[in-house]
Amino acid sequence: MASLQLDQLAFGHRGRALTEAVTLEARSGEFWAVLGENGSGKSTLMATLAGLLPPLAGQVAVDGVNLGRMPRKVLARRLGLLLQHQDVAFPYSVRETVSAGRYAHRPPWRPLRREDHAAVERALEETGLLAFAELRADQVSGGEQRRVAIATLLAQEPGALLLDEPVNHLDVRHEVALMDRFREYADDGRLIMVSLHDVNLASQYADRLLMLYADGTWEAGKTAELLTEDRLEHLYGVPLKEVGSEETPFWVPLGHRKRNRR
Amino acid sequence: MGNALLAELLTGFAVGGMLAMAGVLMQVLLRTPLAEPYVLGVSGGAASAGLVCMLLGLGGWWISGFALVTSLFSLAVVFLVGGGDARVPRERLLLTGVVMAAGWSTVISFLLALESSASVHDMLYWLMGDLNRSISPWWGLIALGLALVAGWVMAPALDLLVRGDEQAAVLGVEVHRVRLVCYVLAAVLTALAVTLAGPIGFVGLVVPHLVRLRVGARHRILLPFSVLVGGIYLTGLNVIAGLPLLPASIPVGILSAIVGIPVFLYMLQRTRIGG
Repeated sequence: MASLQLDQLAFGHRGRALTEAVTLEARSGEFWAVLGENGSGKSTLMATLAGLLPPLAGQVAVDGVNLGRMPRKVLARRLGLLLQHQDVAFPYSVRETVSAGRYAHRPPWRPLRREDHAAVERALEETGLLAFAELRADQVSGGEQRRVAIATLLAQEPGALLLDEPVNHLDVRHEVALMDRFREYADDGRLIMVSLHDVNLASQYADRLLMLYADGTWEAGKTAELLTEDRLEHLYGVPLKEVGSEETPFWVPLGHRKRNRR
Repeated sequence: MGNALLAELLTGFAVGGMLAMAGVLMQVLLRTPLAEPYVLGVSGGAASAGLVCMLLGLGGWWISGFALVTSLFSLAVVFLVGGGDARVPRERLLLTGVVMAAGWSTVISFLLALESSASVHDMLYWLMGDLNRSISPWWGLIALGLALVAGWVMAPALDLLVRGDEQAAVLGVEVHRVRLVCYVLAAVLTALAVTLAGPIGFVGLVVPHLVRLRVGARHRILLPFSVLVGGIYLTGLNVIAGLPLLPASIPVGILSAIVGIPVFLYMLQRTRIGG
């Protein structure tokens, strides 16, 4: 189980911060969604939280320990990140690829132990990849490659899971199965933080939101409190209207013609 | 006679193993199966250093040491210009290496033009890759053994590194440290191989490719098999090169190129552009 503390965190590339400094705490058991337009800094934030990019200012701490001082292996046991892009240039099987998730759990000269194999099998099963396990990971479809990447993260079994657009390239069945699984992980006491471009997935699954506005401001808080028409228009630059029921609210963007009729 | 033959066989094995392992390491560093000491110009750098030493009358460790410096330099240029970033197209890495190789070959031509004596002939033979001049193979074999142990320990990290620096880092690999070790090992192996036998091309490309087809890509298995197959492959080529089929003896490097160039073109043709 892990918690993340962002203290006056400024993140971005080449010294240019993408938002105002962010201070918040994400605790184990919470399901966070990060929302924002393309280019608002969702991926950059994720990379900074995972220690791939140094903070421009302020700091990130995992369980109270500053990220910059943590060896990679220690960090990898506490926090994992699903990247948007994967690189597969060599003929590894799906199972071999997923097994890489166990790297941080053992010294490099030791082969996989029984618990490592068990974690890999569980990850393959949960992502529906058991039937593909012996195929070459570079020859399966785009959606399957995405699931291989997710399975690698599941095999890693970190306390906090950061997921950068996890449902891209997935069909609806796998999208729902995966989001359900992440919800269960959060209920089991892990911390989940997902960047999404689909506000309805966020409203359905997340209990906390971090909204990164295009003007560099941000807001964080409970989903129910932050999902308002005003805020979403500020976030996306187009009006969104709440439809559906009280129980399952649904947001639809209003196109040009509907806007004029309003 | 018996000793000379044994030395030649062992040199062939050591050089083949070193080139195959250097190939595997460069393929990890640049994340493409097309990387190889000769194609990337690293061997060319080492050969230029060797020639300079020969012209100055310096031998032995001078050649190895100077060859190591130019190998490190060549590989560093490929990284810095080609970029190790996952988003940089692999063609750029390869082209950087190819340009380096072209640069070194002009250096080599110039050095040869400076020398007018009969030793040019010896130098030309060495430049084509030649196991006959057999210096003691033992240092090469020892270095190869040590490098293999290091590579074997790092193998799981190498499996992650080929998936990109960011992916490797989030899974727990100290990327800069592992890359640095790979980089130094690849340069040392190339420099020693060139010192022993001149710049022999394509062993580091052909052997890992064939071994991957057989045993898969996992480095714990790929590395020892590549060293073993590389050693046997070059020794075998050398035996064929020595057969009295032609009036003149063919340097083993020529045979290696005859096999390697079609394999390289085949692999290149199967590579997705921008992939």
